[in-house]
Amino acid sequence: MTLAPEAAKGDDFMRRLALAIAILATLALAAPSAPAQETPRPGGILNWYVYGDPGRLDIHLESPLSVQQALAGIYSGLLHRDPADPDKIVGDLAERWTASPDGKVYTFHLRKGVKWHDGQPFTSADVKATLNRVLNPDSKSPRCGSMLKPIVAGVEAVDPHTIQIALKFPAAPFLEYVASAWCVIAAKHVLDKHGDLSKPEAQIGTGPFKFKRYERGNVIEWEKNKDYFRPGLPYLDGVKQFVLVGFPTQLAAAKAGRIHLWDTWPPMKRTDADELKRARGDEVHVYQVAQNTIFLAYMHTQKPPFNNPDMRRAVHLALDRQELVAKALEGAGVPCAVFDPKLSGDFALPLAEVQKMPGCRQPKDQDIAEAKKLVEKHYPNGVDVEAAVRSVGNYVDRAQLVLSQLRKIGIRGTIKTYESAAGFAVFGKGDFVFLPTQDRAMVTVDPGDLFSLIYTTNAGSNWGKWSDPKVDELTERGLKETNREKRKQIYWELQRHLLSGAPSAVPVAWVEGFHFVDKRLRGYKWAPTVYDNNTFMKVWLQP
Amino acid sequence: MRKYILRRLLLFVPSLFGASLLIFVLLRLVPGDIAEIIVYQAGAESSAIQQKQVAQIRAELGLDRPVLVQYLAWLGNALRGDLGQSYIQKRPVTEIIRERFPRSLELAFLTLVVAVVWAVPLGVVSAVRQNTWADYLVRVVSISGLSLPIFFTGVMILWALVRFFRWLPPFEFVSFFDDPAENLKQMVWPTLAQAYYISAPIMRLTRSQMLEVVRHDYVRTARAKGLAERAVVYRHALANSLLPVVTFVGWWGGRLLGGIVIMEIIFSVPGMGTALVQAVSNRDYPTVQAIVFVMALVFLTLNLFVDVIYGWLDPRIRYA
Repeated sequence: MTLAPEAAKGDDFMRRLALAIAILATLALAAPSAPAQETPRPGGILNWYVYGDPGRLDIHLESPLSVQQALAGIYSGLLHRDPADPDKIVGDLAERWTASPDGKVYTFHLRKGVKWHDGQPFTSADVKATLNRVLNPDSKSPRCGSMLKPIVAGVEAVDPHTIQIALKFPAAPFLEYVASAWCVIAAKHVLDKHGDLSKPEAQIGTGPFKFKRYERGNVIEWEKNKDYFRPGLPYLDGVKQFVLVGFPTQLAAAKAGRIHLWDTWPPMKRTDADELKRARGDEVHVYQVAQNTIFLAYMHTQKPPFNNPDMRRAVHLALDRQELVAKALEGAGVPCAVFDPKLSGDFALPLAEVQKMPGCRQPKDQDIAEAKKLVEKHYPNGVDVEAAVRSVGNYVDRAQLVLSQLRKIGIRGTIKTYESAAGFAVFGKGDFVFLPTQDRAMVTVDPGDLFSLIYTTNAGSNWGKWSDPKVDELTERGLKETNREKRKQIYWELQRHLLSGAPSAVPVAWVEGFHFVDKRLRGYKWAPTVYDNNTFMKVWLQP
Repeated sequence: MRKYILRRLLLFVPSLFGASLLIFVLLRLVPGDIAEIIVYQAGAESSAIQQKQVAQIRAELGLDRPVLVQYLAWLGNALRGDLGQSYIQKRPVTEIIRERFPRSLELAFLTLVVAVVWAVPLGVVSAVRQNTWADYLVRVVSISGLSLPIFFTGVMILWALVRFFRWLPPFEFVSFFDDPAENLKQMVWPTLAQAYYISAPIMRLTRSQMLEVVRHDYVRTARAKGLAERAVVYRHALANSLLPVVTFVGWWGGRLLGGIVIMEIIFSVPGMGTALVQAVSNRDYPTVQAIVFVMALVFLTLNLFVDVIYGWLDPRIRYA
């Protein structure tokens, strides 16, 4: 029997359908069942800690993490990092935005119906007042201002719900900077009334939480903003931050279950994390995370012996970063890298290439021999240097390790310690010869930050007074280049230049540390910087 | 006696003046002022802007004036009861002291009471039962109290509370007058740690004084008269042994206000000590100046109090 063409077609269709159903059924049985989406439960108070008393609360004019943390849930920005996926930048007070074809004008369309915590309506006048405040050349705005001032030309309120920001040039990191947790929007009427945002009563934001209480040196409390512009959020009734200054107290609080998460400074060391796991077992999730902080060794380029590039090169060659990471950071770090690929993605030079470069490669014998020759060329009997160290954390131990490595090439160091704050004052003025260890945290993950913070001639933390026209020129190009691939090539060239040259700040390692989250805490995601994604708007507590 | 007290009160003036001058000068000898710390710690703006900002902050706070002018201005205001505005908290430092002082005072007071109540009887037992197991035990306890660093004792208490009870004292400070139970729940642990530390010398001093006094003739006479041993020890021997102990306790009382800072940090008590440490590290000069001034005043007052008791107990001192 032969089938009619139509019947044959139908039969073929049925066969294929049966086959498709069979495949789908097999796949469905074989695949692990997806976890049922948990329904967030409203209520509860999140217990958190802050490592120091913030003091003044002006988020635009201050720089310590403790200030940002104290106010994280109170304010909103034009943009922010997506709480569900902190690698992505999404709108916060801005519903959407567009860029002009030449990339020099950004237009932000603001949400309508947003209210400040005191009931006043939010408009573009607030955005304009905030940006003009941080852009004011006479104002000290070390975080938001220092990022935006070099690139923003002006701000214009087009209508109550539209704001335009004109740039001096098309700047690649502009949106990253606008989304920074330091560039949150303050209320014009509050600024007019209080003059600044230093005091607790001036903390009127549009964020998911209201500023409830600040017992100085003791506790900071937020309460749920019931009029938050994202309906249904936040889930928590409030957040309490205890001011816990001593590390033993912080660790004891974690072990006793008195805090729900540890995502702040300082991170735990591996041994602390192990101790916590032993104490709390399955109740907590402990994880190792990049801190967006680089461990550097600084040399002063205008003072002997490090005014000689050979001596700086010798230090670069002699430092055994792998050993320093293993011993000083308990293995939690990325040795020798100018960028950590976990944070900077493909802007970071591949680690395989970095680890083959002189100074970074293993074993060290060849590099140490070469470094020794460089020192002997200028100081046949070796040289004595004073090594300035801030007496915080394990800095003195780290310094001793660095000096023991340099002793092998004839650089003999004597440690001079400074109290933490005094150290910054001394280093900032350039009153030092050698800093064996100093960490610097980045505010964003944009690759340009590291260079504009540490390596360019006018960089704020260029404490060694280094000046290299090539670094200045490439950094400037990197800031202005909007083509991602071309930008990547610029930063790769910069990294190769640093690692093969004699900079004043030798990259030792990118620092990692340990955090924990109580398993009852849901919806929390660690962001690439310690400043981001700590509004807790989508976080909830399982009873 | 009145003349004696008056004379001691008059000595307050140069002592306080000296303390304020000393701290004023010392603070300015430490590297870095608040302007440099604020600007260089962030280290974000370009170096030229940083220098401009340092100058700007100094001018705003009057730190660009000569040190002597700054001191005289501060002194003038202090004499009128104005101890200045905190650079960091931007509020009058008298407010900070009003807030913090009672907390540290409570901790210091509890520490002294616990230390004395515990150490004096143990010192007496140790002396009366010299070279027995009780004496050895007290001496071991006192030597360990002297040799263990105070922060170690504090941290060990925290560790033990978490390890064995999975419990910690509250972090949120509650005034004794608002909730005595909650307040004591927090205060008892730093009190115990600090009292353990200072009770050691009190114990040893009581013991050595008692050992000296019990060998005096009048003690032998009291015993010969047939007085009960308890009366001999407590009414005759102990009363005469306590003079140096009183001095020591008074001296410690004065020191405690600033000395309990480590306990304040470990047990999260927001007192004067933590405020002082924070103010020093931020170079918040008016706050440091005012707290040290208050601490000096308390120290001098306690010393005066001890001297008066001393003079009252021993008339030879009054007329010397």
